[in-house]
Amino acid sequence: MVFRRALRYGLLIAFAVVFIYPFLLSLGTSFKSRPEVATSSVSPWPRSFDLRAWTDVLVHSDFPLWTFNSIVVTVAATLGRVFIDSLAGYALARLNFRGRGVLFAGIISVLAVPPIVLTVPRFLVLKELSLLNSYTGLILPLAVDAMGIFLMRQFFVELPRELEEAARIDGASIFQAYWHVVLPLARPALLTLTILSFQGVWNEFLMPLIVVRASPSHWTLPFGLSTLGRGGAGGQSFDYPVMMAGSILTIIPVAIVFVIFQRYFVRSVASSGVKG
Amino acid sequence: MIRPSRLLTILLSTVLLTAACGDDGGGGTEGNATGAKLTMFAFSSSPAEDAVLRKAVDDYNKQGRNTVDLKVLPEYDTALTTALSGGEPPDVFYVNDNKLPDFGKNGVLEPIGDKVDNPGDFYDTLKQSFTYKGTYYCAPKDFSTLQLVYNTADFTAAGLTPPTTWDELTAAAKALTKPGHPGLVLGPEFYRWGVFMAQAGAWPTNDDVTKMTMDTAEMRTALQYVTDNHKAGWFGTPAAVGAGWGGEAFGKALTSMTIEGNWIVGAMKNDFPNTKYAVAELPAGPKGKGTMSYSVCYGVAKAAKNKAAALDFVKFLTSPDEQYTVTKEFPVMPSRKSLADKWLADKPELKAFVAGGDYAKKSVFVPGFSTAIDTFNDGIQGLAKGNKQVGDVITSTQKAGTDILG
Amino acid sequence: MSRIHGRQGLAGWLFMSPAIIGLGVFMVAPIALALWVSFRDWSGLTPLGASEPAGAANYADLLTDSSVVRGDFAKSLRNNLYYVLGVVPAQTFLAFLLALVVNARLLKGRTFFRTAFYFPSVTSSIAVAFIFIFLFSPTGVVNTVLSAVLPGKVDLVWLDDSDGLLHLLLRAVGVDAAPGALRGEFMDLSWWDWLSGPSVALSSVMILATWTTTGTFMLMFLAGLQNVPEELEEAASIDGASPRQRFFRITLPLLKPTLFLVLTLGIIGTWQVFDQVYAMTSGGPQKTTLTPAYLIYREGFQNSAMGRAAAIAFVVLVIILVFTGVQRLVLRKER
Repeated sequence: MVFRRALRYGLLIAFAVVFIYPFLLSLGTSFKSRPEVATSSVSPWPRSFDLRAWTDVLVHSDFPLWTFNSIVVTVAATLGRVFIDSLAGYALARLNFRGRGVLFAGIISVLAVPPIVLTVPRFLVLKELSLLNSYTGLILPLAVDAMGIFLMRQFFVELPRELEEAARIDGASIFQAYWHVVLPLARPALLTLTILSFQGVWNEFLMPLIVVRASPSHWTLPFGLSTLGRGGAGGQSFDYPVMMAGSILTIIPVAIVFVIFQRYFVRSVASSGVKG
Repeated sequence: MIRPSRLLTILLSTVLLTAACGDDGGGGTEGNATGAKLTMFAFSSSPAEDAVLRKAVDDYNKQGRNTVDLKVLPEYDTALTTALSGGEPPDVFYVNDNKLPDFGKNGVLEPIGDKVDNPGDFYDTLKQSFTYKGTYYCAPKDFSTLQLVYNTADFTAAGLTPPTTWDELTAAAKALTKPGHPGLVLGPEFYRWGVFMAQAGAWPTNDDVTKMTMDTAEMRTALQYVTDNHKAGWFGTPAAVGAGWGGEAFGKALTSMTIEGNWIVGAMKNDFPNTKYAVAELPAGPKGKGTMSYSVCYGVAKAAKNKAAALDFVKFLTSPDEQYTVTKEFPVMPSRKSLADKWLADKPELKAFVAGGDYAKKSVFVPGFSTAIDTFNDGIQGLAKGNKQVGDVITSTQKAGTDILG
Repeated sequence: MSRIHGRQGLAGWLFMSPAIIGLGVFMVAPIALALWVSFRDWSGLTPLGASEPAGAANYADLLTDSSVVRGDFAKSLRNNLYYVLGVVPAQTFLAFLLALVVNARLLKGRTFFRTAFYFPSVTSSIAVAFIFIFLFSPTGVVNTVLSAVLPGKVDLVWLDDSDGLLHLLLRAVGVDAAPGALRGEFMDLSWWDWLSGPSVALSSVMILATWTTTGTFMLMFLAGLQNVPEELEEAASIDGASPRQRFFRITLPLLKPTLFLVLTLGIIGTWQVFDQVYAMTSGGPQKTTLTPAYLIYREGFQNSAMGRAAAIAFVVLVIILVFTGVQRLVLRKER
């Protein structure tokens, strides 16, 4: 029994090291000088304590601009998702109207289309709409998301009907009942959706790569990060401390949200499990 | 909750706006030569090159005719192609000579080659690089060649002088090789290996690029020579010594020789100011001397809104004074013949790069040929790594090229 | 009642309209447009209207006509196939194992461990790729640790090593080149090269992928384990079932839906690998990390062959549908 418990904790601790150590190492490496990195690449503790990489990233690169762009895009796309998905999810769960079944089936089949397949198609549509190299072009495609509609529908289906029906009998319109009665009840689901969307949009790489590649003033963090610390004639020399400083800075906002709202993250994964 | 609907409004109004004023372009060199806002795309190999470029743009902006917004982009060719595909190209942009056939075929460029001042002053071989089907599209910015860059201290210590034949190169590389430190580091790709093809009298295609000529004794000799040296450990790849490119391996003293072009001067000044080095012409092979050259031109987009202003800017950049200022600071070679002597007088130590201009080959083929070069590069990587045979590389490249040339 | 249900038709469509417009413009219209483009010869550099119809040529280039493109497509399929075969079982097994351990009763620090295992899943793919570039660098942690554990010095250049694992294995037993039977070709790639196994470089990307996704799937298994009623387990243990029997007879069958979900999501995800390839290897060395997703990007945005890129996208879509379909069939039969 003791042996089994020791084995269990041993395994857990070993895996915890495997999952955490890379982050600590990259944090430490960002404070190392380049010569130190070349000779010591295992210890997370910087002996030289060099702030060069951090000034390079924060002062000599467009990192602050990318952060600003990421915030704009993430906030706008997330608000868009919450708005669109909750309305649609509610309609699909609660309102009786012709064509509802078809719409729901349509959303389920859109859900099945892998994003990578949409790379070229979305570029084409954004080009035709003259939305390339703009915030709007970055935000709008990310504000539409079938998964969120599905999650909200599942939530509303399970929500008891009594309260909103009472409101309707008291003379509230459908929208009033939705706005004043249903939405407040849906706060946990909305928060889950918000967090899921925040994390997804913040880390999104493919869309900025396709949509704003040619306009550095619109780059968001992940794409900007991908250009950091690359030097040399072919862009193939790595400046590890700079790369690590940029990576850590990109991870931090998500890490903070993650720590605060941990249970919502867990719930979002669990609820996506409903799908199976 | 207002945000999304506002976004929709933005979307709709943007669509309407672009629909309303989308078609004011047209052909020809129209627009005013002054008062325009221009966008320029460029790439840079080092902060040194970056600074020179920004200064040139600032100097132009100070003249007050037009304002240029310079964008220095990583992974340049892809970024440029994406911008061109998106229908919102920059007004002025660098065009690598190996991309010109594709751009020429797709009608991306406005032909302005002869519209700059004194167009006859440019080297004819460079003008040819930027000519597709008889149209000379854009004036060359400058050019670089590959030569042998060596560590003078290591050479002195080993009692060596710059090698002049393949045998001497092998001997020098062997003498300079230590564990984890091959004597010569070169990138496993078409340009770096191409110098040996040129020296052996081999080339992937015939002169007018109508037929593949991979399967020749000369090609075998060239590929086998470099492969054998890799096998022996006297030549190595940058990755194998933990570097990103030859210059980095050289600067970090992971090798004593590398094959690089003019840009290494800027990189060394910037990253490795203490390394003492010199540049020599590459050794001659069975068919004499040979190297590869790179060139870039200033392209003006056919879809540019204000071509007159763009041309004004290109005229400024290609003017003898400006070109001299730029190439003096960042030592690529001027594309104007009239500047050659003056430039070299300042930098006698870079004579080898200039000398290469006389016999250099270029990676300029036909539209769509890049897939064949990709295939060749795969093969070259395999030869350097030791998991491919010369014969297989020749066969696969011959086939890939024949697909394109027919 | 009629008042409650009266206006629902209008309200329903009104509520749905932002979603319908959004999905229509950014999901449905793109797919339709791309399907049309996939039948045209379009470089992307000229206006779309000026492109020529190409019939099924873009698809033929990929599937039936011998060409470099088909060879590259074959390589990307081979690479991704090994990627799926390596990553999906590894992440599923590890996620399951960790879920079981974390789910154990009376575990101290459960939240900490769960958080630690899940955290990599929520981070930026590019940031993580950068961290792994560093871990796998020639003087990096991976080589240092391996050198300490294994005899001799390990100085693999992980991200630039194109040797396939199966080829390396065969080389170890003395088979260095293709035996006669494997000299033939399928889709411009020799059978010998089809059977190379993932390259060392691709294996690095696979390790990264497993490392990042395991946490998510662990959470799914945990959610599944919460659904196993404790009474059932207790009853079984009173009936004298050993822990092993309880696991195989009760826990595992009840987790089947979760397993099904994890495998489906795993397959869909692994067929789309792009970010990591972009940041770590750009498809090299020797195209051993080229994936269909990366090929779409390369053909469309580097090689100016938008029509072909669109065609690849549709072939990939079919592959994903077939894969998940087959997996669905197999698991359903067992149920």
